[in-house]
Amino acid sequence: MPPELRKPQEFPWRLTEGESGNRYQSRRCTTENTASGQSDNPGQMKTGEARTGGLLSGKHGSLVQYFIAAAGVCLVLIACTPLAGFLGYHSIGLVLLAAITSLSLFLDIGPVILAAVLSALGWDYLFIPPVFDVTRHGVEEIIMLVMYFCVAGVMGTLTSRLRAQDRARRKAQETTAALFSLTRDLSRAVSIDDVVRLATKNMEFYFGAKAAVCLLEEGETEVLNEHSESSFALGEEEMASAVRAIGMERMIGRGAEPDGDDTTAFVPVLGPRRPLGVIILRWNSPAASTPLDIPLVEAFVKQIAVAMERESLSERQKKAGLVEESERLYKTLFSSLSHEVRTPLSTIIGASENLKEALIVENGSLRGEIVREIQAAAERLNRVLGNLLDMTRLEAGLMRPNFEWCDMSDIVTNCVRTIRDELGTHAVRLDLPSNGPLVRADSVLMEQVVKNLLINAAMYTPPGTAISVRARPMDSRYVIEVEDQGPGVPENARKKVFEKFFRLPTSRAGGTGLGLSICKGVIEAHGGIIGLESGEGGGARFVIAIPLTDRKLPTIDDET
Amino acid sequence: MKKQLTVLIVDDEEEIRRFLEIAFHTNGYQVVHAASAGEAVAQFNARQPAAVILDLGLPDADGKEVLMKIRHTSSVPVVILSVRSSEQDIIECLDAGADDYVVKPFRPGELFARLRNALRRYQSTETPRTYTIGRLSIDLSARTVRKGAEHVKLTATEYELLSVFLENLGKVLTHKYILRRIRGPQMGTDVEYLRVFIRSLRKKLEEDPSDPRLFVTESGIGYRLVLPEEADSAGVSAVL
Repeated sequence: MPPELRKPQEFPWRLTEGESGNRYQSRRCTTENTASGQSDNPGQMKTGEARTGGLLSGKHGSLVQYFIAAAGVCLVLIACTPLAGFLGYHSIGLVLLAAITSLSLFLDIGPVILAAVLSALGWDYLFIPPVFDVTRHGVEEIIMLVMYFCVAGVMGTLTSRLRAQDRARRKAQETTAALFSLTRDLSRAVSIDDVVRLATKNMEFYFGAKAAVCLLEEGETEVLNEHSESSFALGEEEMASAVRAIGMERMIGRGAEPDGDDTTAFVPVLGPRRPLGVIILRWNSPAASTPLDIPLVEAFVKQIAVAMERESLSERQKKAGLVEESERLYKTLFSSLSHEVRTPLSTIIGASENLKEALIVENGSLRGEIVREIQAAAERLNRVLGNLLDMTRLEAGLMRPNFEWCDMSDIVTNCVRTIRDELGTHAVRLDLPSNGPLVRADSVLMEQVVKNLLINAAMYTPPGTAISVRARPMDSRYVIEVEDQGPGVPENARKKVFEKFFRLPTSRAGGTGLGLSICKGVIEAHGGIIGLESGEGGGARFVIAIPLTDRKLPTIDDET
Repeated sequence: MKKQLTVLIVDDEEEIRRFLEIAFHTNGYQVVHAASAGEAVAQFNARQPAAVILDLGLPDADGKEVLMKIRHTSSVPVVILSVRSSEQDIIECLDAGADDYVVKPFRPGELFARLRNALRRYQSTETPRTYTIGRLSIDLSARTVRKGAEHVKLTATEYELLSVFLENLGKVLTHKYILRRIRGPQMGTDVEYLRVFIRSLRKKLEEDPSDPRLFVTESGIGYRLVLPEEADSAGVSAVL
């Protein structure tokens, strides 16, 4: 579920202090959210950067401030007039001082000085005797007036400077938090698409704009492709601006060009090696009173560039790895194919050619032998192709087990029955439970595994030796063991036998090097494991263990 | 000698048709060919063959469509002969009314055994009430089963299961078909019940329950009741 991002709202009547209080509170929420794992959200913090100031900043803002200063002083002076009867003009001076200090809490230095001057004059004119006269004063009154003016001015300046510092600090904190949230998001991205999605979300959230991302085609300087995660589609003109931003390697549009388009900004994403793309921000309204925090935008984009570069490198590496792997696979496949397919084919071609020989046509037993050879070669060819097809399906992820409740004893017995001919002189000893639990598995694939193991055992052991198959439930697993009486597999090769096309150097011709890797693929698709150990007589013992789902045999209520 | 049966062979590969024709002639059948689905339907209507050998991958349509068209008007044996070996394809064809399914590459001996089975089922006008299979003698009317001299007690469901198998002697029955027959139309998916019933039926009726020869498993598809004399040729179904 995409997190719901609150759009920055404007409260023109609200002073910045009031807003910042809220902001702190919601930032605590952010931290808690992160801790509880809801970190897909770039923070609930309400954006402020783009909108700092509001009513009380900017060109018009300062005029308003002066007006507030004058009006405030006048109001306080008027309010003090009735008090003059029973309070001394000293006390009135203190009241005025308090008012100036309060005003300095939300006004800039200029308006505060104005308020100080006005209040000093007003105090003198209205309250210091002789009232309604600013010219005739004793030394004491003059000193007091000067002192009052100094105190008011200094206090006002100090308070307002403190406030400015506080504001700067808070802004820095917010910038840090925004960048932190972005970096945290980006660090979780595992693909370029992820990076683009998270970048778009964060940019939209912190800058209160819609964001679109265009990626530069590799090796090109002007071919931009708009990413599907973008929030809006770009027009032709905007595309041209985006290309221009890349060419200039700097941000253009809102905030960067005073006379330019005020609702859109084009920020090039510059990676360490090459430009990667452009992020386009679009605002609904040309809000002149909310200047864009360009350094923050640039810091954002720098982070995004790093993440994009990282992902593009890792994607390229992955691709290179895949190519290498498939090249290796193809090489082995071709060498294996040419051998494994051509050998039986030569037998078939050669033997059928022989059948035409007059001598053989007349000799019944010789003819029979040749026909058997052709049959055996054809069957071997069929097996090679079957294995290759299975392997390809497994590699392509097409071999998904079709899980059903299976009777493993039945699967093993059926398998032995169907391949008895292929096992030749090898006897198969079965040790299977007659009333074992049903196993959640794909019966066809499991039969394939047992079949491959049996054929493998028959192929690599001396004729006439027995192969034993043992199956039983063990704890939470169902274990099947296929053990032969051959020479076994040296310990260092035991893991490798499950690799594709791996064959022991000593093994005789006829195998594909695929059977065991198919077994491994199938067993792993069942959530099980397959291993090779040394049997009791030194032969090879393959052990399969697949998870046993806890389910009793269905009890059947059945009348005789 | 009895009248030769005509078999319609539908396959788009000429080599396969030629080789099958030789094999069918040697086994005493007459052969009609079709290389496409359209031709197959036309030939079927014109020649009224006694059985059909049907490939699935035809150039103009899927063989399943031919099967369905044939089943609209006729219940003659249809044996599917295809390279498609997925259980899903096999089950779909069997459920759509195919009598049997043989995967290419195949042994002609096996194809003929399956075809003979299908023809026998089709030709027998009434279902026999008594059977003798090896040492087993079964009397469906009297509801008695004996193994040698010994009387075998079957539960009601086992008896039902056995009659479903006898009715379709030699035919692959899908899990769904058997379950619907013995447990009702809505119970087509509880394969575990079927496994348990088969286990107990084998325990009671097979000579060696750990090496069943009568109730043979068709992996991923279902079960088949094989007659002992045909076990040798029919028992190799999954090899090719």
